[in-house]
Amino acid sequence: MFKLEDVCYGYTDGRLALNKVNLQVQPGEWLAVLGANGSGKSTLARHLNGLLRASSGRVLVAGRPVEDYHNLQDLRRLVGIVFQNPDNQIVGNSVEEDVAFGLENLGVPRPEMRERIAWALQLVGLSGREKVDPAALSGGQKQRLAIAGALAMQPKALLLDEATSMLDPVGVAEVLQVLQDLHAQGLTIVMITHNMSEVLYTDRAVVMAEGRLLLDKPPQELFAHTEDLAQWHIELPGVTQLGNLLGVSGCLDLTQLLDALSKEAV
Amino acid sequence: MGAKKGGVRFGSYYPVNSLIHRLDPRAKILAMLIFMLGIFMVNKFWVFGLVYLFGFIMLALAHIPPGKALNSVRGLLVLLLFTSLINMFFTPGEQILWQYGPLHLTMEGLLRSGLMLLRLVALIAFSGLLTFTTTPIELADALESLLKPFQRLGMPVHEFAMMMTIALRFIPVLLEEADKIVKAQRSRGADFSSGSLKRRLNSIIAVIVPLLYNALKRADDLAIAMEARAYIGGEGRVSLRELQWRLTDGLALATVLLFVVFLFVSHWLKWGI
Repeated sequence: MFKLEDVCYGYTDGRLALNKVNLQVQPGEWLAVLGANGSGKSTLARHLNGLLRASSGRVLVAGRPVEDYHNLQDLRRLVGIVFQNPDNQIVGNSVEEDVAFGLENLGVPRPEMRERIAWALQLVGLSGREKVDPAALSGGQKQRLAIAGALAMQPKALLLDEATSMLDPVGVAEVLQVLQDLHAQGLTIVMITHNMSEVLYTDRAVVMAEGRLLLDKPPQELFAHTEDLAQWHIELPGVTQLGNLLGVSGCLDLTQLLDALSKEAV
Repeated sequence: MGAKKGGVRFGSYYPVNSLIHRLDPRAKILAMLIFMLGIFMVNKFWVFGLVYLFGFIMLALAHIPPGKALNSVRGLLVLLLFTSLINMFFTPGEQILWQYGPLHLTMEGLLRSGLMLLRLVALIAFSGLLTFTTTPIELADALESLLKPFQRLGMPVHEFAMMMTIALRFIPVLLEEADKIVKAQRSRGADFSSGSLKRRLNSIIAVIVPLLYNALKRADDLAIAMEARAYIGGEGRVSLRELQWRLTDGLALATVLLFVVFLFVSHWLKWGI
């Protein structure tokens, strides 16, 4: 779905936000991108749907270099993006108006627009709330609305740029449930996050620091790199940390920890 | 501004289902413009009687309590009284009823002041018929549609409507933010209600600066989010909300137009005061 070849992106002051990044994301894959603030995660995401252009190197989306998408709307249709703060990305004055925004821009005929709005709202569990003012929704619901807005455009991939970082645990759980459902339906997901517990849901995780890709592993293997992760200011999930303290490493959830502890006891 | 977080009633929209509420907003805007123009032509008391009768019938059809329409007048009462008094005591005339220094009360002044008061009250009270019965979004859509011909002259009609829509969307967000900043500053000792003027101004600046900074940050984020959702301006855009001009819209506009024609004719009638 995405292929980055030696991608660099520099700021005007000469600093590199991306430094020779090579990455491939397969269709239907769920990738987590981890890293401390300023590591280049968001810059990376913005290259994937043409919001930013690489200073050097190549970005390919669905097999085509980004530069070949002369009509940027084609690229935006292919790759949806959801940002950190739901309040700053909701445009409409009602739930259905907001989901419609992208479709209106693409010139989708009204009857089809209505069908797609109903479909997207059902996917994120907001059916029946079409006329509700977005200001009246909870944080998790607002972020699900933002996801619905991206999904209504029927993208092949969804980028989430720290989309859960401003949500309470209930909101995070709501969004992760929606992502799990979408992943099961074959959607490619690239999730930028600080939160290691969210990595547990993904197929693969990459770690970034100072614009470089440092690690590229499945979550279980990633958690074994305790010292490296600590050096890059990435905190392990609570369960994994507890396991490490108790002498059992690599536990991804409570069940695994309990199993490991009972085996030790035997 | 009657903006509230979460349910949101901006301006004065009165949410009931009435014949007037259901009219196409473009018909309501045009009818209101014509009606306001007609009111300016009225120069007789008996015609004002008919204007008020017409206005109250419209309010009844819109299921709006007359008191609600007259409430908007209350806010401008001082201004209305001031205008009336100026007209009353400074209009020259032949039939002087009372005089004190430069002040003089004439029959012409009394009549002119009465007509002025009736005109202003009618303008304020009945202009609410548009905002009581039309949501701000409908108004933005209607304005975009009505101003479309000016697009050929280079007027950024779509952008103007989009700005209105976004401004409306962000009013509750910014109100909530202002509330948070006020609380944060209060917790750090800011005092907005007592102290010298300078001190109070400083406290207000401590709210306005972060609010403005955050608003600009939000605007930047929103622009990126809109771009990410394929927004490239009005070209090729299809709006979800469709305005439909029906027979009732034409009839309603024609009724107002006929009444306004009568108001224009009455201007030149010789009889009645």
